[in-house]
Amino acid sequence: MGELPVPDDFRSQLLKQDQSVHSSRYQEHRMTVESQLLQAESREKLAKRIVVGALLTAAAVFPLLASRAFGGADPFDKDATVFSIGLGAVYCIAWAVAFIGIASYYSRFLPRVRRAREELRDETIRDMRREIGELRQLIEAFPKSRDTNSSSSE
Amino acid sequence: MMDELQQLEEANLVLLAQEGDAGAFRQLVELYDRRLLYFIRRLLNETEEAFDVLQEVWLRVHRSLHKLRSPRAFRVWIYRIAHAQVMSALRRKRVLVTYEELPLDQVPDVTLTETSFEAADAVHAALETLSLDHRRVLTLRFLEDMSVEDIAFVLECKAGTVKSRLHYAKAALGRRIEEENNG
Repeated sequence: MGELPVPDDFRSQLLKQDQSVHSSRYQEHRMTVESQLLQAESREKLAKRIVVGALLTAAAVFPLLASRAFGGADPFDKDATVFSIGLGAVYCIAWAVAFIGIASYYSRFLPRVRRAREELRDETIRDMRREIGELRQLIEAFPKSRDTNSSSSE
Repeated sequence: MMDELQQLEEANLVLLAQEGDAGAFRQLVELYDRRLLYFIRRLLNETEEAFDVLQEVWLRVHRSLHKLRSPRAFRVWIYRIAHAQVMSALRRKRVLVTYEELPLDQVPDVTLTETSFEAADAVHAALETLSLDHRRVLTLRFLEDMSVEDIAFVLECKAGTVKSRLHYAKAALGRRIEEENNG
């Protein structure tokens, strides 16, 4: 557009004009955001724990069912007891929960997509490191060139 | 030069946040929260509602940050989310937002001069009195120094539309500031 860039301090000056940005209500809002983020994170952690818990439960129940120590899990089995049928139900539910949890996780982070994204990220990080290196060199060279110019003018 | 460094640092924070680094996400909140609040406040003109919308914006960003492909696009992406949330809030209040499209060749090129940046308080006060359409393009321009293309991405419209809106908005802003100074 051929326009002047907006000066850096103009943003901060503009922000200073808005009282709501500096009010106590703003601090309250930041605390609310913080607690909402914590809740969202803890929900994710809880979902992971539930999946792990379901897998462990299934693993623990399986030997009991396989040994038929409490009877058969099949309700139509002659050996079936209330306890063994209950264990069978727990086993099925645990697998269902684990399956749904894992499926939803993979629907979000399909391995191939994830790998591609990680490669893209690695590439971006490499680019950024290279650019940071170049910028550092420029910054380091800047005072030297200024000193050289000032001494030559003297 | 420092701008470029800041952008790289920000992109790095976005990458870390995408990897699940909660601290990096908090730093992004720290970096953008006030700016987003200013933007949302200018559009909504209501403080309480602005805080509600902003909280919803952060939750959406937290939920969908993993979908962002380019970390360098974070700034325009987050403003696009904020703008969409504001528009939803306005639709709920039945506020109609319309664009007026002009052919690009009919849009004169208005340039910002150094005097445009001399008095932030005058710009801030004048912004309050402009139409919603003018407020949103000018806030993105003044607050974030966004290009026409970036503003078009945020507002989900054509670059030509933004260019014409920006021109008329700047003219309206100039008139308001002049009125303030004379009055």
